This record gives sequence, C-alpha cells and structure tokens, in this order.
Amino acid sequence: MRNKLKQLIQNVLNFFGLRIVKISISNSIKIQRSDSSDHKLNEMQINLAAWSAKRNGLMRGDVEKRYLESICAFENGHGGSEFRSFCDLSYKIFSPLFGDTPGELHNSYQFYGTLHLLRMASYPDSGFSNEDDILGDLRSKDEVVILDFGCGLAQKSRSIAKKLKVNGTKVHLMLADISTIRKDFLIWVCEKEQIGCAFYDCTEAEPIPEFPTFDVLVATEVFEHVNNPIKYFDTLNQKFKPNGILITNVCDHTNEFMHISPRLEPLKKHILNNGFLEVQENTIFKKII
Amino acid sequence: MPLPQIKLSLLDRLFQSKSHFKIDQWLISRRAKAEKGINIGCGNHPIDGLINVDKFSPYADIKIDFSQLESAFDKNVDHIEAHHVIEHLSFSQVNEFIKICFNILSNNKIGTLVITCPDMNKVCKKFLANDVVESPNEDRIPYVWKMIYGSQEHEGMFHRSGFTEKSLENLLRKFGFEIMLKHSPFPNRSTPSLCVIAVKNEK
Repeated sequence: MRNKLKQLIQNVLNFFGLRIVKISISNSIKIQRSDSSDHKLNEMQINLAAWSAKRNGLMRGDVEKRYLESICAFENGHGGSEFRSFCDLSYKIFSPLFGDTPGELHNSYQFYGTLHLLRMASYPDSGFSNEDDILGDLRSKDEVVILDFGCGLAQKSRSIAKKLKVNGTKVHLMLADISTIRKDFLIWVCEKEQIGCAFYDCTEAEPIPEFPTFDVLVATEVFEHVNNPIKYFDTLNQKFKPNGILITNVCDHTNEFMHISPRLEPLKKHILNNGFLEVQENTIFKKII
Repeated sequence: MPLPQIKLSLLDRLFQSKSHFKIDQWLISRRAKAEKGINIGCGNHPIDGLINVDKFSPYADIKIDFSQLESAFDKNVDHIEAHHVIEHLSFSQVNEFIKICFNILSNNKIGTLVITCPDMNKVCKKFLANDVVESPNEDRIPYVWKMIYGSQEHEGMFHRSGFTEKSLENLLRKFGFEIMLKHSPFPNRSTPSLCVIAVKNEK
C-alpha cells in the first residue's frame, strides 16, 4: 500500500518535474527539483553567502551549501517562474498585514526585503553592449557622480562605476533605497569591489532624500512602484547635471503586486518634453538641457 | 523599491538592443519649448515653429545673410538650427558664423545650437569604397564627388569646408559652447551626415 502511494505521489510529482528525495511514515516529504551538484552559485550569490557567513559567524562553505539547497527547492532556482509563484503566494498569505496600497508600501518593501534579496541575487551582473553610447562622454570626465535610485543590488550602477574606474575616472556612487537587509550587504559588496559608495535611506517621511547633483541616474524598476512617477522624476531631475545619462525602463509594465503605476507612457512623454533625448528605446535617455 | 518579479534577462535584452538616438523627437520637443528659435539657411526646407532665415529662399520668413543675424536678433534667441549650411561657407566664415550664433543666443537662459553637415570621415570612406574616380559621362558629376564639392548647380551649392564630429566639436568649444551630443549618422541623407548639439549656458 505504501509503495503504491509512493508511486502515485512520484507520478504526480514527475508530472511537475519534481522528485522525491525522502518519504517517511510521518508523511514528512522533502522534495527538491534537482541535485545541488547541478547548480552553481553566481558571483553575487557567492558574495551573499560570504557576507551571511561573516555576519552570523558561520563557515562560508556551510552557508553556500544551504544556499544551493535553497536554490534547488525551485525549478530554475530563485530566478525562475516557480520562485516567482512562491513570491506571489507569499504576497497573498501576508496581504492582511502587508499590502501594496500607498500607505502600506514602505513597510511591505521592508517585510519582503529578504525574499526580494534572494531573487535579485539570482540576476547576473551585467554590463552594456552599447557602452560607447552610454559611457562615451562620461569617460572624458575626471569625476562622475552616479545616483542609483531604488538601487536593489545596484548591478547596473556598480557595473558602470567599475568600468569608469578602470578608465581612471573618479566615481562617486550614491545608492538610495528603502533600508532592508540588502543595505548592509550592498555596502559590504561595494567595499569589497573598492567602489566608494554612500547609501541614502528612502524613508516614509522622506522618500526622496536630499542628493548632491549627479551625472548618471540609474532608476530601473522604480517608477512603476511609486504613486506619482512624474513627481518623482521631476524631483530627481532638479539634481541632474546637463549632459547626464538617465538609465531606466519606462515601458508599460504588467499589473501586478507593487506595480502601483504600471503605465509609464505619460512619464516617458514627460521625460522627452523636458530636454531628454531618447538614446535607446525606453531605457536610456540623455539630458541635453 | 525594485520588485523581484521582473526578469533581468528581459531588462538585459532591452539594454543590449541597438541604440537609436531619436534626435528628431528631441528637436520637435525643443522647438515647441523654445521661446524664439531660428532655422538658419532654411533653403527649401522651412521648419514649422521656427523663424526661417535664408538670403535667397522663397520660404524664408526673414531674408538676410548670416552676417546680418546680430542686428536682426538681439541676444534673444534660445534655439538655433543650421542644417547642411556650414559646409557652404569657407572655414573663416564658419568661425564667424559660430561666433555670431553664440552672440545671438540669450545670456539669460540656456540656448541650444544644432548643426548638421556632411560627415567627412564617412564621406571619404564612401568615396574610396566606391572607387568611382572617373565618370563615364563627363557632363554628370558622380554623386560621390558632390558629397565633397557640393552639387554646384549655382553659387550657393558649392561646398567650401568640411567637418568631422571631432573637428566641429573642437570648433564649437573654442567659441564657448558646451557639447551635449555628437552623433553620426543624422539626418538620414544620401550624403553621410553628422549632428552636433551644443549649448550656451546661462550666465
């Protein structure tokens, strides 16, 4: 009987690509998508494991092993659709306490910070294929100030900072976001990569902190998350130096949790009407005046 | 504020797509915002929303030579366009032209100057690649020669100077302009062209 039950469960799980690792009489079933030996941590995940180990006084290897187990719990790891479904489920479960109305958003970002961190760490660190368009003019400057607003793990801005640094340019990186577990990790990563950075907390009282002027604004996956994207843009634009670069994504987004302003076409028109030239569709703009 | 549900691979694809520099789009927006914008040497292509200036063109709003610009516009212009004009001037005249453009732009607000002209780097490459040195018909000037010397239909259609992105940038900087954008190809013409957008900052 037990064998038949086991076979039945295995058949159902096979259908979804799962496999049973262990089944006990107590009905405790441990499942995993694949062996941890099938996966490797990317650079950011290795850093995250190292930071976590240091923070908690653990062996780095042990945390890496845990990390791989966590990744293997989902098909395609933390970057896959199954993890996304897990996030959706979490949003639903905790919605009585953490929703996405404007009044709740700040606390929700803090609450889901750990979940988001795992997701973001699965993204590859990436540069730009059209670097000359983006960095061309910046390379000729002695000093460049970059603001990454709603920075996440700051993949784009750190990538730009590193490339400019190699070029001999002095780079000041300002990272701004709601303070979560990510903040300490990011500061640690920047120190490790020898990128001088300052972190600005976006608080409920002051969602846009007071910044010095900057040459590059990275604001990817930001404007769809705020209640009045044009107002946010205008406030940031006041500190934008002429001839600066805006790296964003103002295509219309899907209607989903925390996308409280999914339609960004009006923002794009506003950007274009305020002295910016579109260098790359919806994503890169150059401030002329 | 970022949300984990956006796949970065999608974002990456966007970032890795080809640049397209929508200069036309920016020009439309700039013309609409400018309080007083002029199009110098409009020829047969006047621009709506700008004061079209040309000594000979029937489409011109004001028929004057560029040397008369300072008396016509008393430092109250905030946007200037000159499309395929400067190559018809001698090098010394181009110096004078740029100086005048700087002078007629207002001191009290940001002024923009947009210059387009043949991109001599690309024109020369095209000339060499075409390998058309001799024309089979002596009466017809091969187009590749016209790119360099002008179509020569009349006195105003001779080219007397040539520029690359860098040489035009240097020239504009010499007269106090800040370079905001230099891009080639623009506009989309048979003759490879370049565009430089320069700014005179308010004092």
